[in-house]
Amino acid sequence: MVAHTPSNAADAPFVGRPLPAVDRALLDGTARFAADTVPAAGALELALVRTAQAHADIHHIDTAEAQRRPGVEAVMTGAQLAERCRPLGNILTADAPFYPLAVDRIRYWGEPVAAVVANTRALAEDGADAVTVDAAPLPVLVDPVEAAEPGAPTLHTALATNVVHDRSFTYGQPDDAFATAAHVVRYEATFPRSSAFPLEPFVACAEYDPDLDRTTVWANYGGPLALHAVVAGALGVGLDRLRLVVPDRIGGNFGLKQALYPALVLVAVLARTTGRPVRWVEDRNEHLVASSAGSQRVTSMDGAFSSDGRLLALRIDQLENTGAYVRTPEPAGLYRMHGTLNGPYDVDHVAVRNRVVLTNQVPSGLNRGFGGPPFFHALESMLDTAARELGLDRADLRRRNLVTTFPYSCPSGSTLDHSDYRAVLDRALDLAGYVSATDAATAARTEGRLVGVGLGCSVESSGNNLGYMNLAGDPSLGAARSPRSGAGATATVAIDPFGAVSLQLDSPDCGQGYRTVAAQVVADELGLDPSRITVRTALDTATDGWTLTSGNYANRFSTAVASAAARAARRAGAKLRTLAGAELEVEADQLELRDGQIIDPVSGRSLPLGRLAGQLHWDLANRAEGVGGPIRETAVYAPSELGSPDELGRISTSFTFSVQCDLAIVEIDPATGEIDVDRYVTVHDAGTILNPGLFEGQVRGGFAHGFGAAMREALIYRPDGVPNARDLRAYGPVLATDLPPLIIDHLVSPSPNTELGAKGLGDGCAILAPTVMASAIADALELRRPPVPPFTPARVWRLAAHTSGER
Amino acid sequence: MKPAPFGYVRPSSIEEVTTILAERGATASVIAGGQSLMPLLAQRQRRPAIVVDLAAINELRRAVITPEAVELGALVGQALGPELTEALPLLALALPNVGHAQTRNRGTIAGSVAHGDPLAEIPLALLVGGGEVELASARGRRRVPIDAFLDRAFAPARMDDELVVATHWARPSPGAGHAFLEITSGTTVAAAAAVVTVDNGQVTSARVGVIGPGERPVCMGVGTAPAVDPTSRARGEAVELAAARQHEEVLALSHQLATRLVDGVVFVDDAASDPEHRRAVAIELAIRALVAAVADSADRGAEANAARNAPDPPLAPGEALGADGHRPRSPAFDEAVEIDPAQRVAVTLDVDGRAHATVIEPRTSLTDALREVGVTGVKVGCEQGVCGSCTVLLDGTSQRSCLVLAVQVDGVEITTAAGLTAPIEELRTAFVDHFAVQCGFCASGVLVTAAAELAERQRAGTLDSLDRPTISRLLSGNVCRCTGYASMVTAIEQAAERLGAASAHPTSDP
Repeated sequence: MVAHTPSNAADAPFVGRPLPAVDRALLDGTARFAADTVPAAGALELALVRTAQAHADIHHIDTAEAQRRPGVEAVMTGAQLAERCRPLGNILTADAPFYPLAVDRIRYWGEPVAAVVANTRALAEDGADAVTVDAAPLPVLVDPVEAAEPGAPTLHTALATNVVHDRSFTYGQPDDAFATAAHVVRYEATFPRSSAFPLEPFVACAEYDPDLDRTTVWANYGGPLALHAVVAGALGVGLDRLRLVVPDRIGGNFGLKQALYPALVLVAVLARTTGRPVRWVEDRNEHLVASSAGSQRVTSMDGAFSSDGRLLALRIDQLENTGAYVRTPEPAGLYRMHGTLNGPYDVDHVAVRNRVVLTNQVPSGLNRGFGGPPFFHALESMLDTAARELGLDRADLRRRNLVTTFPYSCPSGSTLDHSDYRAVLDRALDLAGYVSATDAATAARTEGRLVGVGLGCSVESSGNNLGYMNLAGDPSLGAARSPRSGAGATATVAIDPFGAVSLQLDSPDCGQGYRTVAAQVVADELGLDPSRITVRTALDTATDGWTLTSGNYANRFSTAVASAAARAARRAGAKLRTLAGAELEVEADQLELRDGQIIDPVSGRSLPLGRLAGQLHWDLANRAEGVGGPIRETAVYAPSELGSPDELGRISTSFTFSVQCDLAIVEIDPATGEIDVDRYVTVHDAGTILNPGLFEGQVRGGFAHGFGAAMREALIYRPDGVPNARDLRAYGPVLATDLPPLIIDHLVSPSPNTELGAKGLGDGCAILAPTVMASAIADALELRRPPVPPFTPARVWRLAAHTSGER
Repeated sequence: MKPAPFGYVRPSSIEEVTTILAERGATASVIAGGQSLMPLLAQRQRRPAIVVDLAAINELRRAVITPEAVELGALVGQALGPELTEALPLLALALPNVGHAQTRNRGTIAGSVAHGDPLAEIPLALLVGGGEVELASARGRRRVPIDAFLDRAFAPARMDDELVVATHWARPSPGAGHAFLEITSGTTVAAAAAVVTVDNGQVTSARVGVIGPGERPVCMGVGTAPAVDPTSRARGEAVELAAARQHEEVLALSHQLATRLVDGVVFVDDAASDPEHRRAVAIELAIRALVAAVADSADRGAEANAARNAPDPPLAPGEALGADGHRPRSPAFDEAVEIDPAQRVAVTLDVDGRAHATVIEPRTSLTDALREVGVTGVKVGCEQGVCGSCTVLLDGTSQRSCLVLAVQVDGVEITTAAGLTAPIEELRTAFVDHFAVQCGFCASGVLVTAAAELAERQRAGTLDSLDRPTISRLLSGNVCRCTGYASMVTAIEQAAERLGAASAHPTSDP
C-alpha cells in the first residue's frame, strides 16, 4: 500500500482529445496487410476467367488446354462449382440463383465463368487465358427503366419479370395531403453508380483441415458477420465448420468490403477439392468492373407544400438497379434510410414505393453512405426545385421545414435524437457567407459569369438496425420470419496478471483509428494512459466474441462499439473498486481510478491496478465477495429502442442521427465545362466528438469520396453492357490536385442514446457532396432542376451550352 | 494482372537491336522507360514474344544541343535538366502534364513519341515545335518529320524492323513565345500547344496544335515554319497572316487558326470526354494557347535582347547532356543472350542496403519480385502505374515499381519506405501530428515520394518554394482513398518547414 500523491496528469478525460493514431509499422514501411500475411506457404493462387460479354448463354467451356498449362493444379467451371455449393442467399424469394461463377448464363460484363488455380498468379492467369468459352449473345439490358417494363426479356429464365421486389408503404395520409396542397413539386433523377474503391483490393484465402472437417477463411472482410452465416449456408456447413479470420489492418473499406464476397465461397470449395490452401487477390481491373458498385437508382420525389412553403407530404418512388443478381445485403441500400424518409425535415405524411430491378450490370453493393447519396440527392434537389417554383430562398425553405423539437418521431419509424438543426444550417450559412455569396453570384451572372451557390442538408443514420432488412422480405411470410432487430456490439476488457489492459472489439479497423479512440475510452474509465491499453480489432470467429451484427459498417463504431467498450471498461473498473474496497475497507464506489492506482480520496491510500488484477490470477481462492474471477469483462451494447418493423412497416432504422449542412460556391467555365470550386463548407452535429483529429480525417475523407463521385467517379455502362471505365486510368480516382478548400465546423449535441454521447460521422460528406455540387451547378446555370452527377467537364459544358439559349 | 510470358534481352548496341528487330519484327517490343508499355503488358493487351531493353546502350542517353536543334537520344528521360529546359521551352511546358512525377523519372521522350498515343503531350510538343524522328534498322537510318511519323493512333510510321533512336527538336527563335494548356477529367480531355514569334509588336509566325483528335495530334501554322520541319503539313488551306498587333487581332487570328485546325477532325470518345466536347475544348484551348504564347513572347523578347548582348551561350554545340539514368550494373546474367519466356533467371535485388538473391521470370515486375523476397512494405494497388502504392526509389529517384521489370534493376540501388533515411523522421513526425495516415495502404508510397522530394530540395536549397499547390502536384501520383489528401499536404509542408529551419540555422557546429 502506498500513499497517493496527486499526479500532474491533466484531469481532463482522454475522450475528446486529438490523440494521434500511431501505427508505427505504417510509417516505417513494414506494415502487413491481408495479401502480406496469408496464406500459409504452399497456397495455390486463383485467377478467374472472365469474358467480354454482358449477356450470353453459355454453351460450352473448354478447360482441357488450361489444365495442360504448366503449374495449373485445377480448373473449375460454374457448372462444376454449382454441384459443390448452394446459391448465395439473400432476403428476397425471387428465383434468381447467384453463384460465385456463372453457371449457365453470363449476366454482366466481367462475370467470372471459371476458376483456375496454379502455383503462381501468373501461371493461373496463363491457364485462364487458355480457357475458351462458347456463349451465345443475348439482348443486353442495362437501363433499369427498360428492364423493369412488363414484357422485357428477363435475365433469369425462371422469372416472369426483372422486378424482383415491389413493396409500397404509407405513413399518415399522404393522398389527402397531396390533394389539398397548394403546390406539388416533382423531381425525377437517375443517380449513377460509383465505386467505393478502397486502395487495397479484396483478398480471400481458404484452407481445409480434414481432421477437424473445418475450413478456415482469411479475408479482409469488414462485416457484418451476418454474411459469414450466408457463406456458411452456401457451403452447407455450420458456423463451427467455417472459421473466418480478419487481419488487424484493412486497407480501406468504404462499404465495399461489407458486401458478400462470392469469392469467399469459391476459395473454400477449391481448398476442399484441391486439398491445398487457395488464395485470391483481386486485381484492380476486376475490382473496378466486377467487384461491386453503389447501386443506380431511379427516383421520383414528389413534395406537397403549403402556400408558405411548409413540406406537408412526400411521395417517393424508388427503382433500385442491383445489377444481375441480388447480392446480400442488397436490397438493403433501398431500406437503410427507410426510418427517416423525411430527412431532417418535419413532414407528417410519407408514401414510398420500392422496387428492385435486375439488369446486365455488376451486382451492386455498399458504398460510403450506403443508400444515402441517391436518396438525399433526390430529396434536396426536389427542395431546390420547390424553392425555385415557389419563389423562396433555398436556405429559407429549408429553415422553415427543419425539425425543431426533439426527440422527433419520423412517420416511417425512426426517432431523431436531440440536436439543433437550424443552428447547424445557420452556422454553415455564416461560414459560407451565404447571403453575400448568393448576391455576388447573382451579380456575376448578370455579367455573364456562371457563378453559383449550392447547399444541402441531411441526417446521417448511425448504428444500424439490421431489422430493416425484414422490410425487404416477403410480407406474406409475416410472423413466420423470425424477428430481427438491433445493432448490438460486444467488447471485452481483460487485465492480465501483471496489470496489462487489453480490449477486444468486434469491429475490424479499416483505417478509422478505432484502436486509438477505444484506448481513449478505456483509459478514461480505468484511469490509465491510453498507451497502456492494447486494442485488438483483428477477428477470429473461432476464438473471439462476436454476433451476427459484428463488423465495421454503418457508423457503428462511435455509437455502438465505443459504447460497448466503455461499458466493458466500466465493469472492469467496478471490479477493481470492489477488490480495493475490500482491502482498504472503504465503500467501493468512493474509490477513484487514476494513474494506474485505485485511490481512496479520503485517506489518500491507494492500491496499484496491477496488483489487484494479478491477485485474481494468483490467489483466486481468497478473492473478495462478488468478484467472479480474473478481470475479463464482456459487455454488450444493444439499444432497446431498435425493434423489428411493426405491422405498418414502421422501423427505427438507427438509434442516433447526426445532422449536417453543406454549401459550395462554384464558377463554371462555359467554354470547357470546368468547375472551379471556390470553397466547400461542411457543418455537422455528430454529438460528442471522441477525437477531433480523427473526426476531421473522416470528414475530409468522406468529402473526397463524395466530391470524386460528384465530379467523375462513375461506373457507367454503355448500351451494349460494356463499362466505360475498365481500368483505373479511365476511372480517374480523385487526386490531391482535384480537391477544393474545405471548411469544417461542428456543433455538439450529445446523443442520449450512446454511452459517450457520440453520433456517427463517417459518411456525411460522401452523401451530401454530390447533391450540393448539383445544387451549385443548377444555381450557376440557372437550371430549373439540379442535374445528376458525374459533373465531368463534358457534361457540364453540355448543360451550359444547352441552357445558354434559355438565359 | 500479370503479363503473358515473354523473353527478354538487353543488347549493348543499336546494331544488335536492329538485328533482333529484323528477325522478330512485330513480335518484339522495345522497352526504353516502359511507362506506356508496362501497363499494356500487365493487362495482356500486348503480348510480345520478346522484350528488347535499350538500357545498356549508352549512346542512346545522349542529348546534343546545337544553335538550331536539339537531338535527344532514345533514352533521354522526361525529367529534363536545366539546359534542356532552357533549350526546349515548349517541351518543358508540356512535361508537367505527362503522367506523374514517378513516371517522368523513368519515362523517356522518344518512348512517348514512338508509342503513338493520340492523347500524349510530348508528340504534340514535337509537332508544334517542329522536329523529326530518327529511325534505325538493319537497312539503314532515316529521319521522318514528326508530322509524317504520327500516322494512326498507337501505330506511328515505324516499320516493324525499325528502332526510334532519337528525336530531333527544332529550337525556337530567340524571343519566341510558348504556351501549353491542358484540361483533364481523370485523364486528358484535350490540350493545346502554341509557339509564336513577334517582331516589332507584330506576330510574324504562329503555330498551334491540339491533342484530342482520335488518331493523332493536329497542328497548323502561319508565317515562318520551323527550320527542321520544312514539310510541315498545315491542315486546311493556308491562312493569310494577319498583321496581328492588338489583342483583338491576336484573338481573331487565333480563332481563325483554331477553327480551321479541327476542321473535319474526329475526336476521341472515352470515359473522360466525348468527341463534341473535345472539339469545343480543343478550339478554346488553341485560342487561349496562342494568346498566352503572344504574352509569353513579350516577356521573352526582353530576355532575348539581353541575351544578344551576352557572351557565348552557356552550352557549346554538340555537348552531350544525357543523364546516367538508372541502368543496371554488373548483371548476374548475360545481358546479350536472350532469356526465354519460360526461363527463370537469377538476379540480385539491392533493397534498403541488403542484397536479395532471387530467381524470377522475365515478365516479373519489380513489385512482385520485391514482395516475393519478403519486402511486402511495397504494396500492390493497381499494377498499371496509376495509384502509386508501389513507389520505390531507384538510385534515389521515385518510380513506380510495377512499371519496372525485375530483370531491369539488378544492381540498381532500391529504397523502400523501410529503408528511407533523412529526412524521413521529420516526415513521420509530421504525418503523425497531422493525422495524415488512416488505413495506411498508400503510406509507404506516399512517404517514398515525399522523402525523395524533400531530400532533393534540401540538397538544392529550395525547400522554401515547396508550397501547397506544388505538394499537391507531387502527391497527384499517389492515390489515397481515406484522407482526402489535405492532411498529407499539411504534413509534408510542416516537414519541409522544419527541415528548412534546421538548414537555415544549424545548431551543432559553430
